[in-house]
Amino acid sequence: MPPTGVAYLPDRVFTGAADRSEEGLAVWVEGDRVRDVARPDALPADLPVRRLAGATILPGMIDAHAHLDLPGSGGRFEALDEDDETLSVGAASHARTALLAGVTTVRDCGSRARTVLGARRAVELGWFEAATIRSAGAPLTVPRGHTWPMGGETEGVEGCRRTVRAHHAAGVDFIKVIGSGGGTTGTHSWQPSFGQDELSAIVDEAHRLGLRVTVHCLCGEAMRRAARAGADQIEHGQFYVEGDDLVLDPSAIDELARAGVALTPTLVVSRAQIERLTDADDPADRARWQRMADGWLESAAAMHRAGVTIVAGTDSGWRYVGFATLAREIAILREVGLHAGESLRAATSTAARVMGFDGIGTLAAGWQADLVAVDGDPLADVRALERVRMVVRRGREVALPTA
Amino acid sequence: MADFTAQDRIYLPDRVFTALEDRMREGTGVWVRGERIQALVAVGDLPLDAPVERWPGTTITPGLIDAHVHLDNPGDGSTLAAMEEADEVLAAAGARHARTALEAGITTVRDCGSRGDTVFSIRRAIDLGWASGSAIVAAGSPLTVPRGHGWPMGGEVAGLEGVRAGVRAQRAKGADFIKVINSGGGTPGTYAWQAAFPIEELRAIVEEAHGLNMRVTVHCLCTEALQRTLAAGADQIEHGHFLLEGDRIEVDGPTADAIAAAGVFVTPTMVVASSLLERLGDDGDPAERDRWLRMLDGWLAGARRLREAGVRLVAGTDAGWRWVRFDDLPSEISLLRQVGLSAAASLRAATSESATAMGLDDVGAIAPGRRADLVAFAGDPVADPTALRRPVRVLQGGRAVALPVR
Repeated sequence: MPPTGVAYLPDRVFTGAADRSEEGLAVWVEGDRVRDVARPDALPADLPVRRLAGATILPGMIDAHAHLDLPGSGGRFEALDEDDETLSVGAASHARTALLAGVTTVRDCGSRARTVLGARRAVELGWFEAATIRSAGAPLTVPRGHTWPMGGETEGVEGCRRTVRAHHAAGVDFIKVIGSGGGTTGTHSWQPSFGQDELSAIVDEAHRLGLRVTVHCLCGEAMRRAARAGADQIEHGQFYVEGDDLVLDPSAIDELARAGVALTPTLVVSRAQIERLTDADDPADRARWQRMADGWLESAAAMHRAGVTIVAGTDSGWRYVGFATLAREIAILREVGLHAGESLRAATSTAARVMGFDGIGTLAAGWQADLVAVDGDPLADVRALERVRMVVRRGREVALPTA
Repeated sequence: MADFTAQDRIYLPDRVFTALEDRMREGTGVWVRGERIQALVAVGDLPLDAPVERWPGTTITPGLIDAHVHLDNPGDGSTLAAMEEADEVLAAAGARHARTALEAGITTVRDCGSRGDTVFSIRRAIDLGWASGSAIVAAGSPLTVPRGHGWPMGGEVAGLEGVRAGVRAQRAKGADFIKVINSGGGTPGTYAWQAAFPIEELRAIVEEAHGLNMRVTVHCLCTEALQRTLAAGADQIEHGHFLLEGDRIEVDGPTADAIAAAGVFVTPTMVVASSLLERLGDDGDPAERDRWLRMLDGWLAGARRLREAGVRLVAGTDAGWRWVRFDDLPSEISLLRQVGLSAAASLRAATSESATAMGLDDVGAIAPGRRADLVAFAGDPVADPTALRRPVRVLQGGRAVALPVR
């Protein structure tokens, strides 16, 4: 019987299993799986070969932090005025934007529950070709806490446990908790929100149900509570103090590192905002965002130096972050201090491991055939990630738009 | 020629089909300014600095119009299973279908029935720029008798006051027109050969809708339904088949003549049968194949008789239903040729004639002032209908639609 599938033969393959790429390898895709990654002469002689000269194949990328409900065209929660079906359409469409940019999995870190779960279902049924969606549903938050318009308000140890159970019953893939204030009017970034007992109860209940937990933290105390609660990951990881300055808290960093809690810093948010400001805007605004960009970079760098595992996520949908910005976040992670291979793994194999996504993020025999081919070598030049030549999702090539 | 602005583009194909006449124009360009068509221009009249874009080897036509789709439905044979899914799921899927249609050069679709508010949400998302797809002319839930065909979409109404209230409710949700289900159909428990609404209720629907400046189109699969629909004064008929009990078809000449006399447009959606036959292929169930071959023959015969009577036929596919895909409009256009429309007339049935039937005056033709919804097909779709499957450029409101690499 002739072999089925196709062997993609680029110039380089970055499997995600190591920090380097290798030359002279082909990726054999059969059905929805990678059948093998091997030298062409080790593969069946009559297997059809697709030569991708000049290209690098890497695992389909993973954006660890998106808000598919939000438009990414400025603004915060205004979009949530629309009904669930309208938001669901937007969510699926945004997941498609990500897919066309080589992001084959998007982890939605907070939406109005039914909207992203609806989009996730449409994608799973094959009715909307887009990135695979992993959803947290609505982020758990204290009454009128950050992101409360998404519908995840809860409080008290028992109340929090009930909310986790309800989320699980609704089919979420993981639990997102808002551990401090944030960009919602009436909240302060420097204030932790849930008490230690509530946070510990949330993590305990979630883990009992097989769900990982990530916590939005914009202050040191929130991070400490997350670490002590046994959370798996934190988002942003910034050190705001009263007055809205950023002051590093080395002891909090230390606790996170020792507890093995990973971090998704979402650094592209401030960069995207700065790009939108024109000469007509208030210079004080620009200065504020620049301080944020610099300060967030410094915190993330300190975390990285302390040994905290970094995972790539964009906060797409929020403010001006579009859904094809993961390549930029990866570039910024190199400024943080990750070397090239590490930064690519932060969006592939490391991301999948931290978040518990089995079977993706690495190119190896038996793993899911989610891969992307880009022109050039993204290890040498991160901007190669923006030159997507081919996207394969579950073994099927995605028809990309003409340039 | 006036000074050109940054908003101007002049597209130069080999041929232009305006849809306001049957002939192809050569040596002609289409001048677009912003979102609108400015004018047709003779190539020889163009100054050297004109902002031209050459599209050699192509024919520009108005963006196509599919007069009968169900964005909510999958078009892959799984309609009933699809109805188990939540509204948000159907809305997301529907948006994808609107995009599929747009990429095929179908710049306007008329959704003839979707569940609840899903179609309005899809349109809203497109209007907000969160998704991209064809412009949608929407009815929302089709009005149907209690447990009538299509009842899961949420439009069951009964009684004179009930049906009037149903019309008003659809209008309040944002419906552009009213769809009425006047016979059974593919819904279990309904019979295609049975008419549904009594004449008085149909009249009340038409009156209420016309009072709100909405047209009414009626799903009819049997002669009795057609006759009641004409008596009620409806504007348009969907399918218009002449089914009898036992899957028999008997084309009723006097009814066909009456439809023509009333000036009612008919959208025969014959591709429902041909797409199903294509799906069955050579190794499908022989009994199924025979049944659908008879259906297709009967529907073609009916449409032929309608055309001979002078009825104005409109191109619509019933996309989403059974196996009809959202880019299947070229197949319906070919079937219209089989029932006797000329190549040019079949193209008009999917452009200007369709717009007229719906009461739209800003799409469906290439004329000054209309929206710049344009398609460039590789080749000449009048001489060679397969060209309709090769859209190489699509403009929606003057903006280029990114097409997938084929």
